[in-house]
Amino acid sequence: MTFSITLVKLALILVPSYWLCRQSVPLDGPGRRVFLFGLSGIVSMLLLGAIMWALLVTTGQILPWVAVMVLIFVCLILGFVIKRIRGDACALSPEVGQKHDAPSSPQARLLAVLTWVLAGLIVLRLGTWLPDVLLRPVFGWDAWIVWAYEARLWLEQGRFVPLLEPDMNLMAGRDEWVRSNTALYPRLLPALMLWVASAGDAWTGVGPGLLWWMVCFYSVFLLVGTFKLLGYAPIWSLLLAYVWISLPMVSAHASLYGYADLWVGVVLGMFACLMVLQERTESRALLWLAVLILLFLPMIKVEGFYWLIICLFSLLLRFYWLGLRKIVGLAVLGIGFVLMLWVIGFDLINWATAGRLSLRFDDLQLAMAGLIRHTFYWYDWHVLFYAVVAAFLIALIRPMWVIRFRAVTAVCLLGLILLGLFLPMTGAGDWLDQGTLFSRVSLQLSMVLVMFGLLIIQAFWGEQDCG
Amino acid sequence: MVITGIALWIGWSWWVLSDSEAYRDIFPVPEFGAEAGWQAIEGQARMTSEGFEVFRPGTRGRVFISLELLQPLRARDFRAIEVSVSGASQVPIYPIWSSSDVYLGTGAPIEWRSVSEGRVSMDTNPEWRGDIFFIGLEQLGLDSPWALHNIRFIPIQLDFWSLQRRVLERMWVKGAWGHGAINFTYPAGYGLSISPVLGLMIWVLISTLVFIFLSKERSFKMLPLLLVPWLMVWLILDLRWQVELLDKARHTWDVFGSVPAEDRSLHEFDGEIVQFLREFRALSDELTVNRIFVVSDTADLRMRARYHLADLNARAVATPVAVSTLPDHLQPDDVVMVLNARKVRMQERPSSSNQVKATWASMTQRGQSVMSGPLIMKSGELWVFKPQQER
Repeated sequence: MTFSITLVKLALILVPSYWLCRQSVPLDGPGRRVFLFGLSGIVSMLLLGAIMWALLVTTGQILPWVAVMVLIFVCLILGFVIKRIRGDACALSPEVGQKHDAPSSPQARLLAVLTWVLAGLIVLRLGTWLPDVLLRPVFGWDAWIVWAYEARLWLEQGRFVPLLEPDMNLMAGRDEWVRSNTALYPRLLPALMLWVASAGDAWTGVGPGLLWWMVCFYSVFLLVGTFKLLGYAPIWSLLLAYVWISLPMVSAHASLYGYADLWVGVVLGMFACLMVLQERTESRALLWLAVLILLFLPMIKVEGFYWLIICLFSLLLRFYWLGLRKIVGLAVLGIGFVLMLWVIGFDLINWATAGRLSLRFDDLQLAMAGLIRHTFYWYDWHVLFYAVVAAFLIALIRPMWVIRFRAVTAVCLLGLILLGLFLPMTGAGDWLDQGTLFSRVSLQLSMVLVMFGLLIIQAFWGEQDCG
Repeated sequence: MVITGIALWIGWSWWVLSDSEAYRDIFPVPEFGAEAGWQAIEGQARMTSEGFEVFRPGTRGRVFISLELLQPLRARDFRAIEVSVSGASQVPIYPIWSSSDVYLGTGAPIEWRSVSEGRVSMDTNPEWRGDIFFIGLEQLGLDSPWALHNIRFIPIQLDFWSLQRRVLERMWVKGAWGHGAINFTYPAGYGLSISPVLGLMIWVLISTLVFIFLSKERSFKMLPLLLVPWLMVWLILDLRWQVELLDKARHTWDVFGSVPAEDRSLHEFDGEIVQFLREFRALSDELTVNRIFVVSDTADLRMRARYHLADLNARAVATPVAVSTLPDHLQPDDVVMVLNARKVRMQERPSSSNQVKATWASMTQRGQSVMSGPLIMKSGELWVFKPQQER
């Protein structure tokens, strides 16, 4: 029953969100509806979570239907405003790189078969997650201690309950609740879980998983729609979605729902999709939408703030592109600068993370070993990281290939520097060694990495046809 | 690509079969030392610097020590057991085991090859079959103490085809999700320390180099063809992952499919603790409960209790914190839940049937903290009591 009500409500919020996205995305062409469906699905859930959170904090009450009404109202207002200020819709011309074989040729038939195979694999993967998503109670560690704990607490108390600092654990009174972690995590996801759970009578731990499944479901449409809008053949659109959804860590986080990393990854992915389209169309509306989407990052997870900074940097580079080799050179200089500051006694990382992390080299070797295990040895990513290394090498040999997706390239580059260099050099190195950090942070970047790899291949095709 | 793959596979198989060290690297010999968690089922034993020392027989003169294997071992993969001890007596020691097929199997007596090293063959023992969950050593009559150093399982000698079968079998990981899965996915099943991901990428790399070497045209125009091995490798890995996922989904369906949503927490990992907490919740309705402190050595257990008792405002307290400061912060009607906390010694007072004494075993500056109070409930090493502080 909870699932049915939730599905109806999710469908209900999809309508205004779709309308809002349709007003905001001034694009025309094949794949537009698919893209808008994926985008609006994700946006609807994120907006709902933010509204639910705001209502909880301001009124102290659980108001799921009011949240839906507010969402409809917000979408209508924003939609009308955007409709007035945005420019005309522009159609993206099909990629010059697409070779369209005659429908009856053997190659075309083979491609059609492969396209259906990929679609089948995507459906199979989404279907395989369903038993866990629909039946399994909250399972993941962080879900117990952070995300689901708060949602459960609010539902059972029937009101918003602020959590005290962990050092009050032994002192706080009967009606004061204490959080277990020192960092104050954002409450968008707990609010969203509460929204689902409030459809039932009591907290059973079952139900919120649907949100994690839905975000992956919508992501498939988002990715397929993006490549279709860019004019790529269906097989490439489906390959993009398949490669992302087939990553073992995506499966783990969808099936064992309750962690925020997948959501951060999807928001970064939305940003990447919008920016790729923006760079093709130079649309100001898409740029604003991409920037607005970024605001969800710190609302999902504390680490989202670092991705926000990286994305803002990438926007800067999108407009002031220096060339990939120079950017890599500057990144190396930047790392050197941070290390130099550390040598003279100023820890920039410690300052930038407000004391959460600091530069530390005693565990560097173990951390790097952990990182290599995750990326190149274990099953976490299939061969994604091998492919990303190869794609970057190709991009360094042919820097012109990335000129049409500068923002995505910059996010990947800066994200990989964060993952591969800065994390091992900090206290987080310990967690890399123990295996509790790297793949979750990588998951946040995974959709952008997959997109980068596929765009490099497409760039090759483009050059082939141009040349 | 196919030829490269076959050549690589044959080369790798030959290397593994001809080099015993490489074989052991890939199929590690399971070895369980004295500190692996041995328990004396009959007789008395203790951890000493020598190892797990058996020093007193049981009432019937029998000694039986046993070890639960965290991951079961398949009997047919091993042909012998080697035991390392010090002070072994003349009285024979027998290996004893419990498997999925045989409730209690017994082997021939250990043959001592030196004063401290013994071995017993298993390959002809009809009871040596199934998945081994418990392994133990039995002695009927103890004439002098002896200490176990370790026990090793010696794998069978593989030929080419059985090696292939073994590798393929271990690629498929079956069973439920583990809590670690949210952070990483192991390259293969238990006891196979190679990475299929790395192996397949070596195949891709060599195939690519061979292709480039044999190709007449060497430029970026070759890129589409070079993509084929990558996609194949991706599909191979994903096929394996899909099979594993389907098995996990089936397991989830079997466990939760017919259980009402509100009772699903009673199954799988949470079962024991949730059942205990439910019973406590039923009792707590009749009690005056102020705050609940959950003390446990493992963060996992205390955080789960905190989550399941969120409405009752349970707080998780790590054992060291509880030991050092909890007694000072207690208020009237506070309840303490001690869940598998080794540093807290719980004793039921025989004189008073409903009283329990908790000794915070770690020494603070003021000495031991002792709390006692009425026992609310107990199940194994899970205790709940209402402390009235004593000094």
